Amino acid sequence: MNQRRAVVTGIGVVAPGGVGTKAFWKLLTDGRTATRAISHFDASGFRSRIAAEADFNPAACGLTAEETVRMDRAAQFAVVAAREALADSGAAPEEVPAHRIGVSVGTAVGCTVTLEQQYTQVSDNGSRWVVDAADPFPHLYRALVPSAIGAEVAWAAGAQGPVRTVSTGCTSGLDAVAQGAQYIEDGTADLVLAGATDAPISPITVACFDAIKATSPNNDDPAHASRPFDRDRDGFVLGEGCAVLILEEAGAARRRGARIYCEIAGYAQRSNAFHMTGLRPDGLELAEAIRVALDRARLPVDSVDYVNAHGSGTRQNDRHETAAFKATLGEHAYRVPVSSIKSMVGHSLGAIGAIEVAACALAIEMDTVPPTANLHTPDPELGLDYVPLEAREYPVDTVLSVGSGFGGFQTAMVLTAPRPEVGHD
Amino acid sequence: MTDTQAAPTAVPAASAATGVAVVTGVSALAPGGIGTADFWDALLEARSGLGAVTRFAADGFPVRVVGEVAGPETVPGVDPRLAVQTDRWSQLAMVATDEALHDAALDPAALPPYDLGVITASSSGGNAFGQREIEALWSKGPRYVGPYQSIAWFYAATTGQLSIRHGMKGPCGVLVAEQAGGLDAIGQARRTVLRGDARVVLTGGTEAPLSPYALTCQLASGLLSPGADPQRAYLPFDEAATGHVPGEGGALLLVEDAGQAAARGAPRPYGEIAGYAATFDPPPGVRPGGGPTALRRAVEGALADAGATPGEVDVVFADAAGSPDLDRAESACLAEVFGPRGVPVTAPKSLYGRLYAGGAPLDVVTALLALRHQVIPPTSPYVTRAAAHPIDLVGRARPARLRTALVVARGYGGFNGAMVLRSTPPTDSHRIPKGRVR
Amino acid sequence: MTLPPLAYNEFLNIIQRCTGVPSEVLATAADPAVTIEDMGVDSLGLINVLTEVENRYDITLDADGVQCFPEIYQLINDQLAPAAARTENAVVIDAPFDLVWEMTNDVANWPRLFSEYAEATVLHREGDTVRFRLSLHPEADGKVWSWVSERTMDRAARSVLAHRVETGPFAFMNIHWTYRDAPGGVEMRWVQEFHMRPDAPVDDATMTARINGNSKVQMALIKDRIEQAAKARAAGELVGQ
Repeated sequence: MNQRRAVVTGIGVVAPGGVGTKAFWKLLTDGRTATRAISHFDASGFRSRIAAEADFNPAACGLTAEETVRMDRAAQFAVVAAREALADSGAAPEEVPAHRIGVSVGTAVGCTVTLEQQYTQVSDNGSRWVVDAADPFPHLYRALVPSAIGAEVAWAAGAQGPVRTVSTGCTSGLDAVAQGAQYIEDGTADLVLAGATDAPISPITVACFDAIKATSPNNDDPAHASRPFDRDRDGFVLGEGCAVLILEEAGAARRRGARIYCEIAGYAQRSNAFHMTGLRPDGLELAEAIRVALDRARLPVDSVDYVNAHGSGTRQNDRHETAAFKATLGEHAYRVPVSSIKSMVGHSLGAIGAIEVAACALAIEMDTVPPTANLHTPDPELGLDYVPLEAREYPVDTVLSVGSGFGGFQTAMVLTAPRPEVGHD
Repeated sequence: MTDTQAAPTAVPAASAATGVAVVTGVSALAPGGIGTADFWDALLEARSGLGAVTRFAADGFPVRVVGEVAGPETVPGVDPRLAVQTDRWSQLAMVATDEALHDAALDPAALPPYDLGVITASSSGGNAFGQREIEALWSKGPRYVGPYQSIAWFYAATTGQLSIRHGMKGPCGVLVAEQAGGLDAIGQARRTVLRGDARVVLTGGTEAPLSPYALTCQLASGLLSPGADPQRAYLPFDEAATGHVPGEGGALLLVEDAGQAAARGAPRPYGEIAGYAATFDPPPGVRPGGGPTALRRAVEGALADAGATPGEVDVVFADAAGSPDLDRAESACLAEVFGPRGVPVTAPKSLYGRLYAGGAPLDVVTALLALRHQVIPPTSPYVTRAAAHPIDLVGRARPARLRTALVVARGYGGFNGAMVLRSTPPTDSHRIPKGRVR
Repeated sequence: MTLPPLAYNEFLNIIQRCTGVPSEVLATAADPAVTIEDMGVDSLGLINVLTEVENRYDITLDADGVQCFPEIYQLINDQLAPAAARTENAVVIDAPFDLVWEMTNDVANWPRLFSEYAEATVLHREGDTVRFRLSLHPEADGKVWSWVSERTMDRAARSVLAHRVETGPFAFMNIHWTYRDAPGGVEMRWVQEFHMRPDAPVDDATMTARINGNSKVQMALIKDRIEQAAKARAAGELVGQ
């Protein structure tokens, strides 16, 4: 079959716990948590005052002063991760025709940090509806339209092919990687930067999750606040960060001798058409997405070696996705390790899906499954192997990663170790 | 544990599939034209929908002319239970969706839910809603941010609400590329249908960018017109062009496989989405190499995707930025591809403004209406084409034999998109190339 | 409590504003058999109602497991009632009951009955219920305090229940007016139950002292004006004869 397939040949990560893929993977395999009291702003007066913050210094990451002013924090993450991913891939973008380079970057809340900061200026801290429009911050329009993030990544990579910004809330990351893979599959690009970024630790975003009591109020013990699948979980812990992957056509990557982390073998997106924030415990629509993704990957359910769960840390999610795993994987669901890295790096909204794909690619590369930190008392109503506390060395060839988000969106993606037949196309 | 209780896996496109993606239902919501019929009449009569800001006290505000969809802030026809939890941008999409579904004679409940997808474009999210909540946060405190902020402001709100409201459980998506994003959404909808990932996709986009803070953000782009005269503020391809006027509104449409549409007894399609391409400009300050510009690659890419030659294109719906440099780049591109004054070019948006995520979908609907009615809607009569633009700019409604239309869209930052629409002959709607009528 | 701290109509207004339920659905809210879900109100809508009430009264509502709005209404008032401060003041007016009733319930004329009100505007009248706006005389810095109240009169029971609709610095403010025959005339009694907002410039104790002081002044004035009117009327009647 001459079908074009997308493989991952480079990874760049900006995550809580340290910038760069190495620091990220070390955090995960050590089972440490990067959740702490919020330091980005004075969070007293908020219900949830904890987050997984990235210690990110733009200058130390190679951004110029002009870039730092021009770009929102989310865009800065993306450009830094894109540069790391390109370097990691060994691909020389200058050798690929610019119009064959594409970008698909996800974000849930775009440039809210800048939007909020500038709003407080022109509104005099919310005291006037008709804000002072006389002399706005020169880069403010870039903050209003999150496509500016896609544009920044494109500029960083010299991309002049298709460039898109995907914004499906908390499934943005998986969806953006999937659409990046489509560029490869459809033949509209040969090199794609696919990933997602979010910097949501700002007052308005923290407040909006406070309002619906979605985030953990465990302010006294931030390091142990993100507890997916634990009986004592009490909401998710907001995170921030970015991952960018380099996607190439499998045969071309192999011909240039690239290291291939994994193949994007299948994906599907479905929606529950039920509620903007609510999930039914049966997980039917997520199950459907998983089924279609496996079907497209042409892989049987028992080939799945690791499930990277959405695992946000809410009881509603834990029941929802566990039901979906049981419905799709059957008996195999009880054997396969399932873990949530949100226990360590928090929930960075749209970014996390891409960060999790990066973790999955590394899991395949390193044959190691990251753990679910803080899982001391597994919720007895769930009943799967959630890899408590410690990473596990384990042969990993096929990974299922899932995401679930506001709007009712459910996405599943199947990643596999490079398949031998790919080389013979 | 088995999966017998679960819903059935979506089947690949059923036997009636033809591999042709058609539009079976349209809508239009624009300044000066609410609903497709009203909108089309307004265009043919060259009725402008531009005017002064009325939704807030704008004395002294540096934006003077906008395109408002007339009516109260809460869009009439939206269930008040949904109105409290949504921004105007999503409400406009709800109303447009109702019209598109009705137009396509589509009852979503009659199809398997996984076969119905929703893919919209958004550019700036729930502006007024977000401004109210952030105002409450900063003036009163975090406890005053309401629970709907978490679902009303973010860019995915409209797609989510439409999916829930109409029981559409198939692929859902949201794409952002400012004014070009609508073509990406429709292009993705077409791909979804052609790949059999859904039978019908509700697509398009709307925008409501006229709240005080959203306008302030737009001012920073330097592309808004400072003009105070509604008739002269937005004059694309004119010597006097000084920027664009932002407007609210947009269009939702239904894309489905031609054979599937016929099989369900859909009304005659408006036309086929025959080709689509998207490209990105080189970074600012970087001189492009010798090859074609990114915009031209988008136009030629869409034509190639449609299997069409430039000579087959009967009309072009221009992006019409209204800024001298951008206008020159577009007219030069069209002259290169089609020859100087080689094809009629029109910019009806000069009558109602740039609607960002809503703009390209509305141009696609306009192009489809032109194909159906065999008439090219005009550019604003106040536009006088500058000699520097070697294009045949349509200044008044022009009857013509139209079979293929091209829509061009550009988004701030360097995004280019192009889409080719082709009329489907009346007989096609009842002739099914493969499969059979149920 | 003479009146629930949160009036039922106001509770309904909050529900409608926060959830968007249409009026015909709102009308079913009083029925304990109709659940919140039955009304088409989801978890976010309920949170919106609860947050509005919590912010208004600076309370925390534990509504876990609550099924219907009457339970929430009860929950709110149960929590607010113990917080209420209370004042009670009375005056005996030497005038016939009919005159006392008419003059003290003629809201439009209050600027000529009380010394504190600069303006009284009737906004809405339906049956025995009247909604009106009161404005105080401007303060030294020019600031004018103004608010909307509503009173429901029951002449047969010689009783009026009033509450502030726009509560301003109060979390709530209810007044129960009663009239009864007493030695020397008709006794008019005001029982005020209220609670200050946490961000109000004065606390409950200060407001209690202020109300007690001012009530004496106003009641003396009202007594004087009604008694004069009674005399004038009596004189007029004599002349008329």
